[in-house]
Parts: sequence; structure tokens; C-alpha cells
Amino acid sequence: MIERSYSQGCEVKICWVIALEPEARPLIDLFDLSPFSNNLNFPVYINSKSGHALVISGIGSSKAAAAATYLKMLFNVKRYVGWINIGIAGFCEEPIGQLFQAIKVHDTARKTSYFPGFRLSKIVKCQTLHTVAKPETTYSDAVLFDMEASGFCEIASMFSCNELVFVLKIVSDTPKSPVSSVSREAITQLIYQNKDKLCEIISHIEKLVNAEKARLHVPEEVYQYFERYHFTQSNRYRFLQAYKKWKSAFPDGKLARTLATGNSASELISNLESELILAIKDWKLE
Amino acid sequence: MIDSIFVEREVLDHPVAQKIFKSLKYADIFEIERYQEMFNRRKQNFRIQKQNPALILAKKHDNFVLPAPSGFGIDAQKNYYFSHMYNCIYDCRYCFLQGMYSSANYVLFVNYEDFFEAISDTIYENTNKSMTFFSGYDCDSLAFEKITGFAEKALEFFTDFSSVELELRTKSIVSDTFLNRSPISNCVVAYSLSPSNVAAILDNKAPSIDRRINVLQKLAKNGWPVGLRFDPLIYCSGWEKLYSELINKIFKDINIDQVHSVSHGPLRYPKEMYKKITSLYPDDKLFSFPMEAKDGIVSYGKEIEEEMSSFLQSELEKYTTRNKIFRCLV
Repeated sequence: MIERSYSQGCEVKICWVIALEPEARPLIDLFDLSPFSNNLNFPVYINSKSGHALVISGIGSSKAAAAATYLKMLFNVKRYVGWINIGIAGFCEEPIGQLFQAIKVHDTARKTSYFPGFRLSKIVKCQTLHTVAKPETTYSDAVLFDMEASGFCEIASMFSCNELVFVLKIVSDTPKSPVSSVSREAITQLIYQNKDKLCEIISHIEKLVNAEKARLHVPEEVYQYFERYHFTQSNRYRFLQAYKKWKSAFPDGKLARTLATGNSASELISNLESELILAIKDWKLE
Repeated sequence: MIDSIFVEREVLDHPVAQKIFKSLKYADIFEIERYQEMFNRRKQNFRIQKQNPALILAKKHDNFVLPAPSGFGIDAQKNYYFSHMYNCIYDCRYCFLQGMYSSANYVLFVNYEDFFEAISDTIYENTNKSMTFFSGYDCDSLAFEKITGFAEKALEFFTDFSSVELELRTKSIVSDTFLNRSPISNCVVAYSLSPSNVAAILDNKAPSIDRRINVLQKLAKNGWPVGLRFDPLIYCSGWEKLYSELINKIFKDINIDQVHSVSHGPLRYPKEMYKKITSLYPDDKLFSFPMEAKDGIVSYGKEIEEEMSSFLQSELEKYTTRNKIFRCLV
């Protein structure tokens, strides 16, 4: 369906799904997020200028999936948006505070694996993550352990593409520093101490999001023709394809002039195609 | 530079995998069960993944050798292809792999021995028939050679089957694999070629045409049979002059006896594949051309195809005999 989509007065670019308030607090500060409403099932924060939205899911993979869905529905989040799950994780070795991008997420209960995200390996270390139902205390494998990421990955990749779904984890507990000793304040501190690295990561993700947005963009002038003339869904698709070709071939072309003589969807499409055909003889590749 | 290797648990200890771990010693290694877990899954974004592809090492279990699509072959009675790898390190804008897979990661099947066994079986099933095996359908045959060493093994294998031809199709300028050994008369190194300025725009990350021509002339001088592949033919303003100059440049300094075959073929896509590729690069001038869709195939249209094909044929006949020139129609 090629329809103009409406959002709640803001254009979301990055969606954060975070299990705990102490994990979310540094990001709320860093990105200057404000509570969206007091009357919601999940606490939601937003900065409508920068396009960051954040939901606090609670613990567990099904809650992470539900919260991601909630955020998607709340803001009618578009498919070029970046989704990020960040939080603390157990790991078999020090140092506490080390930030990783999880590029393989394995759900130990369902024995399913996900491979989320464009690998930001030039900026951050990559690691395998196991999502478990209960806090890991034995650290039996050389992987990260969390309780949310698999549910998040399963759902968020339905809303965007797999390469724009990111799982970032900060080591909070190890065999030397067990999970029982991790306080709320310590969690917040672990996120804060990675803020520079997080800003670098976000800057890269925003570039990917902007490129994807540009790729999927349907210009306003296209919708204006959809409103003015009767288009079937199939003709909408054909018009959009012809328009994109025409725009690429004639970036400075005036659409109104090309379409001036068209009085129906098929005539408009034909006008665009005819102008392209006339340009074949002098066709340039750039 | 590859920074991440995903490897199927089953091939972790395979000698090819071990060799690759050593040559990519700075890459992180992640174990997986089967490559299909992460390759070509729904909702993957080829364009984004292409910015930093990972290497996946896997085991191929079946379909090692497949009949080549009709129109792909040169003049053998039987044409087969095999793919030890999916995807390519180059990023040629017209490449059909972009539409074939939703994933840009490279999959390398490390069980080369099974490929050679299957090829050997196919040869014995078809004795008394001329045969060509094509490599480079789902990847570039040589672009990854320094890491994979596959072509070297293939050359060793085909040395024992002198009546059967192997074609390695490439845009790579890897030459050591060939120059460090005596030429094998049944191994054709076939280069994909376009006019320099067309390649400069479309053949992203691939060696320049001048470098490809240098290498192919060098291999020919050293006794290797070379193939010239003008496929796909790209239409643009002044294409006649561009192709004419390209052909002249190649032939003016080549041992013609070493030119095994020359082929040319039009730019064509199955409709769904074309749709997928154009949606990845909606702003690219290559795809804004008003292509024609007929019988499920998208192309420049019969008129342009015929014009380009006839022109190439007559230009090529100035330098080589008609029996060496083939028109490919895949």
C-alpha cells in the first residue's frame, strides 16, 4: 500500500527498548527525553526534535517484544527507523563496563538464533548473546547473557529491516562480580560511563537511518497526484516507479509541466514514461 | 577487510576453514549451526549489509554441479556450473546477485573435495561429450582467491581432465595463481569487460578496465587461454565508440591464438529480480532507463539489444574469427 502515513506530531528516527529504569535514565538525560504521557501501559519518553523515543519494557523477552510493539503502534513508527535494545548483561570475564554489540542472539529456551544489526565492528566489539529466562549465575559459555534481546529481535525486525535492529550490552556481572551485587546506581553508572561510545554508535546508526529513509521516501508531490486523480493500488505503484525513474533522470525537471496534459492515472504514467523514452538517445549513466 | 567470520560448527576443523582463520587472524569468529540461519533471511537489507559483509564458512550438502542455464554456454555439448561461493566482494550496480539474495554476506563452502568429486562423477557420466564447467556464476571466481585458494585446487583437479574445459569468470586481477605454474590448455580465464568509463561508474570496488586488460594480456602471453566477456552490454550515449575503442584496446596487444572465445550478452533481468534491485537503488541512472518488460524479462528492448549485439559482432569480427564469437542470452 502506498499511503501517506501520519505520526503523532513527531518523526521518530530511533526507538529504544530498555528493560529497567536505571538503564534508561542515562539515555533519557543524554538525549533529553521527556515523558510522553502518564496514562500508558509502558513508560514512554520522547524527544520530538531529535526523533528519539524510548520505552521501558520491564524484565523478560516477551515484555521487550510487547514494549517494542507498543512503541511502534503509539508513534506509527516507519520502516526505516533504527531500533536499539540496550542494557546490562552477564559475561564470563572482566572488565565490568565493557560495551558490546550482540551480533548473534540465541534464545536458549526456544533454541532460535537471530543475527541483528549492521555490524559496527569498527566502533564496538561484537559478541554472541544468549537470552535466558532466569539470571545466569554460572557463566558457563563465553557469551553474554541477558533476558530480553531475543524477544526484541524477533519483533523489531518485523517493523524495520534486520540491519537496523541493534542489541547493545554492557557487562555488569561476571563470575568475580556476581549479578546479586549489581545495584541500581551501578547499572546507571555503567551506562553513563559508555556515553561517548554510545554517541558515536548513534551517529553511525542515524546515518544508516537517513540513507534508508531517503531510499524509501515518497515525495509529497506524488501524494498530491494520488489525491487529485483516481489511482488503483496497481497504478499507484506504477506511477511511483515511473516517477522515481523520471526524477533520477531529470532531477531538476518540473513535474507539473511533464504531467500538464494528463487527465487520468494511465495518462500521467504515460507522460512520465514518454519523457524518459525521448531521452534514450543521449542517455548518461550518471 | 573482513572482520567477522561465521562458521558452521560442522566445518570448524576443516583444513580450508583453519587456513582462512589463519589468513584472517584479526577477524572475530562466531559459531553457527547452518548458514541458512543468517543468510538470505526475510527482512534483511542487502544495501546496508553490503557496507560491511561478513564471511560465512559452510558445508554444501548437495547440488554441487548444476546444468548451466541455456544460453550461458559457449560451444560445448554439455555445460555445467558450480558455485563454491555465494556473493562477491565487488559491488557492480547491474549485478543480478543483488536481486537474487537479500543478504550481502559472503558464503564460502569449504568442502572443495565434494565439489571435485561431483564434477568427476559428472565427467564420467558424460564421456564422449564435450563439456565445460563454469565457475563464477554466483560469485567472482578469483576475487577471493587469496583467501580461499579454490581456483588453485580447481586447476590441479582439471589438469587430470584435459578434454573437459573449466571457465573461471572474473573481474579480478589475481594472476599469481596462473603465472606461478605452467598453463593448462583446458582452463579458460574469462574476463568481464565494459568500456572504461562505464566500468568506472558501475563496477564499484572492481579493478579498472585497464588493469583487467593488462592482466588478461599477460596471461595470454604466458600461454593461458583467455575469454573475453562483454556481458552485460550497457547502453549509454556514444556506446558504439566506447565499445569499439575497448575492443581495439584489448586486441591490439594480445596473442590472438590464446583468445579462447569472445561472448557478448544483453542486460536482462527476470521481472521480480529487477523490481528488487531497482528498489535497492531507486536513484541510480542505470535503473531509470525506460526498460521494456516482456514475457517476465526486463531488458533494453529488442531494438536496442539487436543493435548492440550486431555492432559488437561486427566489431569483434574485425579481430577474430566468427567461430570464436558467441552471443549469450541468459
